Amino acid sequence: MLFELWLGLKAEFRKIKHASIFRVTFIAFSLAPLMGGVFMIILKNPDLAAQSGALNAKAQLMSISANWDSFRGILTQAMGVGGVLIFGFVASWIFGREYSDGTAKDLLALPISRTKILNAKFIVYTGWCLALAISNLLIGLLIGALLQLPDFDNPIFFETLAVYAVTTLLTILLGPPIAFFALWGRGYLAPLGFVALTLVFSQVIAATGFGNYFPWSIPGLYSGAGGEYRDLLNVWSYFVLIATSLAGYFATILWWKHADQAK
Amino acid sequence: MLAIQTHSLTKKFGDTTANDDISMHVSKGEIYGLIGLNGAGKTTLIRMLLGMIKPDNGHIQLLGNDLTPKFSLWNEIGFLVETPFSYPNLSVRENLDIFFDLRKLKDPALIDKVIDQLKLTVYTNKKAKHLSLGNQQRLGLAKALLHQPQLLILDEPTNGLDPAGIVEIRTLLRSLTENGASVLISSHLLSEVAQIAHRIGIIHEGKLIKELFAEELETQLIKKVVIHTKDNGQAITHLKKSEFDTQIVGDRIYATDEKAITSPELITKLLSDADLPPTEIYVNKENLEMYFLRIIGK
Repeated sequence: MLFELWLGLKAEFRKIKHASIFRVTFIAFSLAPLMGGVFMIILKNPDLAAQSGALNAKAQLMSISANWDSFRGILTQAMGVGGVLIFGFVASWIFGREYSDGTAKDLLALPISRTKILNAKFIVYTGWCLALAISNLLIGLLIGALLQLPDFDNPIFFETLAVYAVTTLLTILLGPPIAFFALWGRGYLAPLGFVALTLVFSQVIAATGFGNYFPWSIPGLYSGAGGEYRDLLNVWSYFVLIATSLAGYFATILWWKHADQAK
Repeated sequence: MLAIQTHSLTKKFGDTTANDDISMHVSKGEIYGLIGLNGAGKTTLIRMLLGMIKPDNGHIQLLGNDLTPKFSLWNEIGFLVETPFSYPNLSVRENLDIFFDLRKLKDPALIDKVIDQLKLTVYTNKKAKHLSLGNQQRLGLAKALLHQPQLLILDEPTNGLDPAGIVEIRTLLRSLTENGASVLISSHLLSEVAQIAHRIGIIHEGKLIKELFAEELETQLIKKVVIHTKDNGQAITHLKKSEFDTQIVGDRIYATDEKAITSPELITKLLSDADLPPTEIYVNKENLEMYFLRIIGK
C-alpha cells in the first residue's frame, strides 16, 4: 500500500521537476520577506522614511518598528494572507493541470488506485507549501541578519516562530477544497476563481467581526494581520477550518472516484 | 474467454442518449473496429469500457471479469482515449517513466522496447510539447503498449499519423493480435477500419446499428453498370427487352442486376447492334464511405 503511494509520489515529483511554475511560486512568495526588508530599511533610516511617504505611512499604520519582532510579524502576516493566495495557486496547479493538459484521463484506469494518486498529490501539495514557508523564513532570517535588526535575543522569537508555523499549517489546511474545485471544474479556472473569491470574502467577513468562523479568514487572523480580532479565535474556529479541510479532501476523493470523467 | 463483453449499455447526458442499449463483444485475438460519425457515441462507449464513465444501465466484462470499482486487471489493458496528451515539459522517456511507475512495472527495458517499437528513439529526450502531432500520437500509443497488455482499447489511434505511420501501426496491431492480444479500435473512417479489423461495428446516434465481418463488406457494397448513349430512352427500352434491370438517373442509365455487373460487354454488344453504341460504360462499385453513409441513412 505504502509502496503504491511512493510510486504515486515519484510520478508527481517527475511532473514538477521541470515545471517552471515550481520556481515561480518561490520567487513570488519571496516578495513578502523582501517587502518586509524594505519596510525595515525605511524605518531604520528616518531620512529615507521622510522621502517614502506612502510606505512610511503604511508602516506607521501597521505599528511596526525596525526590529526582529516586527519583521517576523510581517512574515507571519504575509503567510496568513498571501499564503492563502500562493498555496491556493499551488493546489490549483497540482490538481487542475491534469485536466488543462489533457492528462487526467490517463490516470483513471491504472493498477494504482485513484485515491492513492490523489493522496500523492495532497502530499506533494503539503510538501511544496512547507518548502515555500521554510524558504520564506530563511530568506527573512537572512535579510534580517543583513540589516542587523536589533532584539534577536528577544524571548518572543520562538513564540513568533511557533505562530508562523501554525499559520502555515492552518493555511495549508485550506488546500483540499481548492483541489475539489480543480477536479470539479476540470482545470485551473474554477479553483483560481474560488481562491480569488475566498480572498475577497476573507477580508470582508473578517472586517465584519465574523472572520473567526470563516475558514479563509482564520489563518490571517491567527497571524495577527487582523489585530485584536485574533482574540476572537476559539476552539470552534479551528473546528470549522479542519472540518472544511476534511470536507474538501473527501469531496475530492469521492468526485475523482465516482463522477463521470468525460474530459 | 471474451476480451470485452457489454450487455445493454446505456448512457444519457441530460436529454442526450450517448449510448443506447449497446451489446457487443470482442473475442480474444480479434481486432474489432468501431466506426461512427463524430458524436455517434464511440468515445462514451470507450470511456465506459475504461471505467471513466458509469453506465446508467447495463454492465461490462473485461477479460472475463466484471468491470466494478474492484476491477484489478488494469495492467492487462492499454488504452488511448481521444487526443493523446502528454506532460508537455517532460521528455518522451520521462513521460513513459511516469507510467512505468504508475503501472508498477519492474523491467526498465520495457521503456526502451516500446520507444523502439514506436520509432521514437531519436525523440527520447525531446520534450513532449516539441513533438509533431504524429509523434505525440506515437507517444500516446507507447503509453498504451508499454506494459504489453492483453487488451488494447484505442480511440482514433491513427489520427495525425502520416501514411507510412498508419501502415506501421496497422502492422504493429496485427502482430500483437497474432500473439493473442485483442484490440478495440474506433474511427470515423470505415476505409481505415476495414483494412485492419476482423469485425466491424457501426454506431450511430448511440446505437450499434450493424455488425459484420470485414470479409462480408465486399458483398454488401452496391455495384452497378453506368451507361451513357446518344439516346438513353431508346437504349433503356432495348435493355429492358433483354431483361436487364435498369433505370435512368440523370443523364445516365444504371444497370444493377448480376448479369449486367458480371458481363457488361453484353450490354455494349446489345446497344451497338441496335445502333446505340455506348459513349460511356463502366462498372461502379460503392466505396466504403458511401456504404457507411447508406447504412446510417445519410
